[in-house]
Amino acid sequence: MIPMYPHKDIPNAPTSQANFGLWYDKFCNQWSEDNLWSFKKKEWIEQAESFRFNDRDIVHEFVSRRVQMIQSLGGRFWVFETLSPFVTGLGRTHPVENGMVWDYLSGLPFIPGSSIKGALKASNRQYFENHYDITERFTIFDAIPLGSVTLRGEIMTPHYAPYYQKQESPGDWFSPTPIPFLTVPKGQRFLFSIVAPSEHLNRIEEWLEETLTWAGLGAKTAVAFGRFRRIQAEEQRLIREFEETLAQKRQAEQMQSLSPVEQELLADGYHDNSDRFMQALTQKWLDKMEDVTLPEDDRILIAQKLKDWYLKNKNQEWNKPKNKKNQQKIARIKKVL
Amino acid sequence: MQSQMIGLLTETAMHPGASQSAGAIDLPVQRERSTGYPVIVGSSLKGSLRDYFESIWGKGERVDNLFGKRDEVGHVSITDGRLLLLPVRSLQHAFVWITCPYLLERFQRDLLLSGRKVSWSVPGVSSSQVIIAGLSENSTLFLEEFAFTVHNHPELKEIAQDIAPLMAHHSARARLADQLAIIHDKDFGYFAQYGLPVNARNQLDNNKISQNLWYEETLPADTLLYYLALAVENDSLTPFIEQISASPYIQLGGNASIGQGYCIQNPWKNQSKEELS
Repeated sequence: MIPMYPHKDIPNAPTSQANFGLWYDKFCNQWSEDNLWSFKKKEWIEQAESFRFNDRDIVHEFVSRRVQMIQSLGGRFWVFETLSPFVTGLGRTHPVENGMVWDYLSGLPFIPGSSIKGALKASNRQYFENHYDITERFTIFDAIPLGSVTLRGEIMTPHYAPYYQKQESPGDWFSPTPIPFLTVPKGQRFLFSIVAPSEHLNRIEEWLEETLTWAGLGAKTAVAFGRFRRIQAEEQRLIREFEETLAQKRQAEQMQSLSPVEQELLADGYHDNSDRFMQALTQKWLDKMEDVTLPEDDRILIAQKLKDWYLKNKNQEWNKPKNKKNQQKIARIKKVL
Repeated sequence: MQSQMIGLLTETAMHPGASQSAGAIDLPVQRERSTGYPVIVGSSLKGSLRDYFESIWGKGERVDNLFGKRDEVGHVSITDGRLLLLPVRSLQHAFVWITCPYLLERFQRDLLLSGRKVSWSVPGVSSSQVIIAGLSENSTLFLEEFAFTVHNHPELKEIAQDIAPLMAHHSARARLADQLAIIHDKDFGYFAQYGLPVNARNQLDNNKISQNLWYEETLPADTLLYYLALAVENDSLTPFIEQISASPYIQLGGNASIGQGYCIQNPWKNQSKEELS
């Protein structure tokens, strides 16, 4: 293993496939050598702002896996969108002085379950006068990003650092110090999920929505950071998507349990397209039914299936065929049966 | 004898805690004494499985039969939850799944124990090299802050095909062939020892003053482990496997209330064989 610093292949900026959390934590490349190892914070933040993660498949996979798990465990999920900048993990160490928490796998910002739990407990005490009973056992999952995340720089400018830090008097001779830091801007959606006994879910939903709307989440809520609004349309879309994949999976399983002949019949529109199947019946299935090289069981199965199809789709014809063509076909089927 | 390998793919970060340490991390994860690789020890895995079955079947004879009671041995034996793939952050992918020759050899032996003889042999790899598909020969793969020289290997695909049945999700299986990376045992040992995510947790009082700050280590989501369920008598495993297939999610390790430790289980099945029959 070769340590990274002298390596020729290190890119100047993260590629759109890279794990941005890794880049942010370990590949700081904005050091200025002329000023005794100072860190060019502004340039670093600008680099972060221009980053776009384009592995959408993986973000989508994590979202649908989370939805599947929550549905299977009998919990509930919600989609919330940031209404103001959001940031968490400012306490983490980093050359820009303020870190950020990154989802380990996607390298995108996320909201740890422990932060959500802490915010719920605090809002219950501070705003809701212990209205929400928190003794019930429930599980709060990390909130994960829906889709890629853009990042935006913000600046805080403490004017009276010695007053804040060393409790000196707040004189106007102190110089303001601008400190750039990264945030998740307005309009970013996150998937929140909680598993709890079903009788408590409605209350938890109300509590979570009130907390995210009014109390806020993450750092700097006192200057209106970290407020969210709920996007119910997106929740419904996720549920529909989940149900569709479930139906597809069931159908695939059903298909696998069928014999090859039945699978082929279905592929020719046996259930869903009577015109197309009529054509396939005339051109392929009648001949196949009489093909003596096939096992007898298969031929009888085909005949039976064709009879069922007639009874279902052209009941009249089966009993009293009107035209000659149909008469012939039906006679052939009856013969095999 | 009946034996079944069961895959454990973590859906969220997992903290199978070792409860204490003398190091910088307050709450590390359990590790194997001999290798230093993370592990879920058999006794805690069996306890969690028992709890999982009791929550579905209720306490009583059925669960006691499988897992035993004070004076009576149960029908099922559970091995350690063994690590097979560890996700590590990269600059070329969001992350890759690393493993090493030693883990593959153990996986091969465990597959043999559950009745599957594999056709691949464990590839050799030297330090600072990585065997991975999808990147060109001799290019560089960055894992955390380390650079590895890429080598392609013809057997990687076969190995991926035998690992894939441990994963319940088609989407994860589809990524496996491109994200599977084999590195030297020693290099793997480094990531297993120092490469796991460490989270800072903080408890604030009403004035937002820190009361307690601690660091805990977790296995990231998408870590792949597996265990073997063994039974002396034939068929006594069948209800166990059926139940696991019917409700595959299980919670293991600490921090359950903040969503940690959720895994999806998948009994290993030879798919290509099934498709043929």
